[in-house]
Amino acid sequence: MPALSCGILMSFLASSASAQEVTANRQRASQLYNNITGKFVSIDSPKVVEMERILNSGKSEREAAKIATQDTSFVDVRMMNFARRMWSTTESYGVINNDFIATTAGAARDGVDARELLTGNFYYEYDISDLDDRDRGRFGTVIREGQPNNAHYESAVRLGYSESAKLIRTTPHMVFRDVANPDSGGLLSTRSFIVEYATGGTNRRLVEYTFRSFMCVEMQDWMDATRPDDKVGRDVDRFAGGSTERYQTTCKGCHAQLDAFRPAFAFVGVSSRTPAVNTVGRPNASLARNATIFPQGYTVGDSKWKNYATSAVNADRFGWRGNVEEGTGVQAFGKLIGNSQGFSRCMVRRMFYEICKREADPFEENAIRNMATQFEATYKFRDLAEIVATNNICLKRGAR
Amino acid sequence: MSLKLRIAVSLSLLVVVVLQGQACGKVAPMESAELPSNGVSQNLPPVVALPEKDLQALETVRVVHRNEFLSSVTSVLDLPYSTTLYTAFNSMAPNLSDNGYVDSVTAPLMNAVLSIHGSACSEQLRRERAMASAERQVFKGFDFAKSPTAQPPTATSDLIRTLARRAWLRNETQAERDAIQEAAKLFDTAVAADTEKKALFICSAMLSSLDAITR
Repeated sequence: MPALSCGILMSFLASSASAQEVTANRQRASQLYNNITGKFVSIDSPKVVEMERILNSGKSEREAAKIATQDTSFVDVRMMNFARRMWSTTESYGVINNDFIATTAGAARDGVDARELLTGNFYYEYDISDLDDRDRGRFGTVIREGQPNNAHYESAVRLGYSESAKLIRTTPHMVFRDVANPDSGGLLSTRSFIVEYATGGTNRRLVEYTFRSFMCVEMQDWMDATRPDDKVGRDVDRFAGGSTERYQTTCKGCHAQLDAFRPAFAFVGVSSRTPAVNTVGRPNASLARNATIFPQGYTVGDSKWKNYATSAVNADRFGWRGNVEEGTGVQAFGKLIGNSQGFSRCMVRRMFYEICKREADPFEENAIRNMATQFEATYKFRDLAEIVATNNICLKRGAR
Repeated sequence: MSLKLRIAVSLSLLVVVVLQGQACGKVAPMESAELPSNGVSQNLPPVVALPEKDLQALETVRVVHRNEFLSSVTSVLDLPYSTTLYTAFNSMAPNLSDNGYVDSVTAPLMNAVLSIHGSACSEQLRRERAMASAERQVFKGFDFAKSPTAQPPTATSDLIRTLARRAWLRNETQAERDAIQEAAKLFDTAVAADTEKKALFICSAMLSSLDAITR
């Protein structure tokens, strides 16, 4: 009798299993949804079922992927992680929330042209209008960026605020003493970016990390000792170790290009943990540090910068477009970066890492460039996620 | 710690270990920090189409990392955001993977995963206990007023199926179902309170298996 019951039970389970078999299109829909949103949902989730229906009807995977990019998790999870890693100096997700991260996610939600992230005079904050005065104070009233702390953005995480629902676009960028930033470069003018990279240095890190975050290159990747060194500052020793050889072969490789771009941030600094822009037309004192090391070196007098990253290798790497030789100020520098092919390739690489769970391999460079060209049709992050997730090299074969 | 509780914890971990083998074949070696993290290489290599077997070797798997974890747990169980769960998550979050690399799967990580899923399943169970069976999302066939031995025969298998489709994104295999049911027999007593423990055991064990926490 027990054996009979067991047999009946097993046959029931077997028939139940076959009735609920997971079809290939359902699996593909589930994979697309999970990869695009960064959130696991049941294989029977209505959105996955809807995506399967689209695939079954013979429409493209891109059509199905649109269901996933419209999901709130695309902004709350996927784009927030994308932005966290773009912000992190170690390409890690383990960073606290800030205006740089929230602004990237907000721009993705609103379909902002990605290039505006480097030129726009806006940032995103969380809507706390529904809180009373007391709670608003506890939340952190850092609703203007010219403030000395990051409490506003950290509170939002603690309270589980959804970026897709709570972010609001605010303009203009503010700096120390509540002055509107006269030369805003989008994320390059956020409080977190300036405080992180303009504190205690010579404003070279602002350039270095702009390239790292938005061109996906580390300094050693694009150093080039063949470039002219007429813009190298006075604080760089030309006789390091007693000879000029080290300077000529190593130091110059980075400084020739970095120091030529550095004047873009000539007026940018930090005062009391707050971004500051010198509006009286005098470059920040940090650019003149250690001026006695080589007094004949270049003195930054204004915000006119030059682009020396134009050798054959770097020209191919960055794919400059438009006026690429020189410019004035942060916004023009942001425009140079945003208009380059290097920027769109970098955004593809970053999205590829998020969605496809690995770095793109060198042999996949053509595919990356192809996706970057498609991304440039709209420069919208939702389109980018759809392009990457449905590309053949991204997890299609045999994946769950 | 009571003997029963210790056995429960041990078996829960056992199920985790049993199920850990899944998806390991998909682990590819390139998910490492040694590769150039970004940028175009100095000399762009020629583009060569790889054989299919090499392309399959590129399939990678990543453990769900800290910043995806909470949203995935709540999504899989259809749980609303709660401070209770957030507190449980926060206390264990430092042990979760920061980047999702497979080499971050360690004993402390698995403990943290089990602990968070235990809290999440407990919260879901608490919510669904008060509902009629037909209204429930996860613990559908269970009658929590009755002992485990008095439950309908399909209660356990339905729970396994529901969780497999929610967390593993597929149906469970016969072997998996047998293994889980066998382990859960520990709770088959005549005590009504053990029904909840059995359901909790199956839920937390299945959600903590590697197939449920890899992407």
